[in-house]
Amino acid sequence: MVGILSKDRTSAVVVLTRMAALAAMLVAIALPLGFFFAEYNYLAGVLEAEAEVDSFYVSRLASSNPALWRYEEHRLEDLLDRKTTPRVSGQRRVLDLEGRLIADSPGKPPSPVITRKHNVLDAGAPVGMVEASASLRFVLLRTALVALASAGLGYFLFYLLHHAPIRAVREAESRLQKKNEELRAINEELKAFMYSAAHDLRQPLVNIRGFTSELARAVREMLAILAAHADRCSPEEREQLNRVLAEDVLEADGFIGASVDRMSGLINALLKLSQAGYRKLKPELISMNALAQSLLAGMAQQIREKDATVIVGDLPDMVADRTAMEQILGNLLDNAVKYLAPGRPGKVELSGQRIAGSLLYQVRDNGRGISADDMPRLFHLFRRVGKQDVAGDGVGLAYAKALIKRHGGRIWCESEAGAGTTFSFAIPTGASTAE
Amino acid sequence: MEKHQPVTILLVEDDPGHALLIEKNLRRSGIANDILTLDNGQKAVDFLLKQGDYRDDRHPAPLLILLDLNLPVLDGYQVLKIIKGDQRTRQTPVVVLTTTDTSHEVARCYELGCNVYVSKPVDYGQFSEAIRNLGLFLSIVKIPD
Repeated sequence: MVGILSKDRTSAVVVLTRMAALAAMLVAIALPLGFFFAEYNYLAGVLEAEAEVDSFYVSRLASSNPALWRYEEHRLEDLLDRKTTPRVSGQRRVLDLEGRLIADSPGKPPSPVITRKHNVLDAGAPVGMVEASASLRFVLLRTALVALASAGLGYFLFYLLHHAPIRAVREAESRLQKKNEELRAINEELKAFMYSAAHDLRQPLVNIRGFTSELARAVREMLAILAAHADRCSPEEREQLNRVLAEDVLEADGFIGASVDRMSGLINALLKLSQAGYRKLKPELISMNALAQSLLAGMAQQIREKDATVIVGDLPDMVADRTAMEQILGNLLDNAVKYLAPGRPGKVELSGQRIAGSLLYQVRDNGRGISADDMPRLFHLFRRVGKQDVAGDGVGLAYAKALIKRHGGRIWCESEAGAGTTFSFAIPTGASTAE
Repeated sequence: MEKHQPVTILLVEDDPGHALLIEKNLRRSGIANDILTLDNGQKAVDFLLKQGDYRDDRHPAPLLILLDLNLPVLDGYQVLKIIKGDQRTRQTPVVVLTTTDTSHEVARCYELGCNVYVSKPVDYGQFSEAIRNLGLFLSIVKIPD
């Protein structure tokens, strides 16, 4: 059996997986990227500040000796070699306007290198520049560490958002499946029980019916003998014998017989219903228009008698078990015609349409309607609602409902007492019939 | 039936009422043959295969079996399977006479080798008519010796 959740589950899994992957990716990418930019900007800011500070001192030197400042290498180098900002070990260089090196501090930073420049000014005009540079190596190394941690965090997030809920769904599904199987087993048992109960109940009925008939037969034989020897007893005795034998005994036989027939009818209905659960459905393409026409042709007499008009709309075809569909639609049409309100022209309308994922068929009548109180018992076995002036065994709707359920569909009823009733049933398209 | 050796009817039926009603109606249709009634499937098999309690029994032959399906110990299907599977009883005609008439039961019985399937109607008029017709039918059936 395919899990009944599987379809919903698949879409839930897809959504969950996407969300979890997105969250994990965001964490794994955004975190190191953010970290890198923060570090980079910090380093750039520090270098800018250093270049500015150094250029201030170099500018002062340049102003004090505009002609020769560039040859004071030692002073310049001392200037550049002062303590740098902690964490940023870099190099500072003084360049002239053409970019030629004038002086530098020791310690060339390993690549990749980030560089920030600031002009050296003499009386407001640039005469050279100070360049502060540092290696990005440590920033990259730290970013790599952060990326590693982020990947771990991302995976953890993915697990939290994806694996855990999916596992919960799977567990719920397997519990549901188990319950489902239990229910199926119970259902099978019930069907088997119903079948054998109905079967075994018939057995004693044969005896009851048989032996009461035998009794009646014996009584008739006795009556014949009595008639032949009527002269042997007094008129009172003859009358008494006649009364006892012909009236009491035969009357009793009549009642027993009628009860047995009724019971036999109920048992047959039970058998039929349990067989509706057993019979293997054979899905095939059914022209519902043709089916409706053939059903109505069979009801022509009944429809004429009731002076009813039956309108059949354009019905969509469907794939289903033909016999079952005949029985379902036949039952609904038969009910519609059977329970028309006496005294007004009957109108029965059969329509069908395709709605999202299923086929909907409706039988609408302007008959006597069903009161709200009776609605809950409408589909119950052997329950007949409303005025009991038309013969019926209380099986039809229960049977129709059982058959529709086996097609994976549902049936419902809307009605207004005195105004009319609409029975609707919907069968999902492409539904595999429940076995 | 055959003039030289009268056929004995073996009625396998657990409900004594049914057995009596069947016998009455067979008699009314003019069947005068011996009717032997056994009330469970195991007894029927033992009798037919000459085993158990019926080992030393004097056996009437030939036989025709009227078999109910709903039987204690061994049900009708099991009895049918055993006697149709045994060389000694394979040829004995079996009429399944039971309360139901669902198509899969009928099919299953014929599959197991029953020769005729008759259902007992609950309505007694139909019941006695069915049994009487069966009696008339039995009276013209030829049975292997």
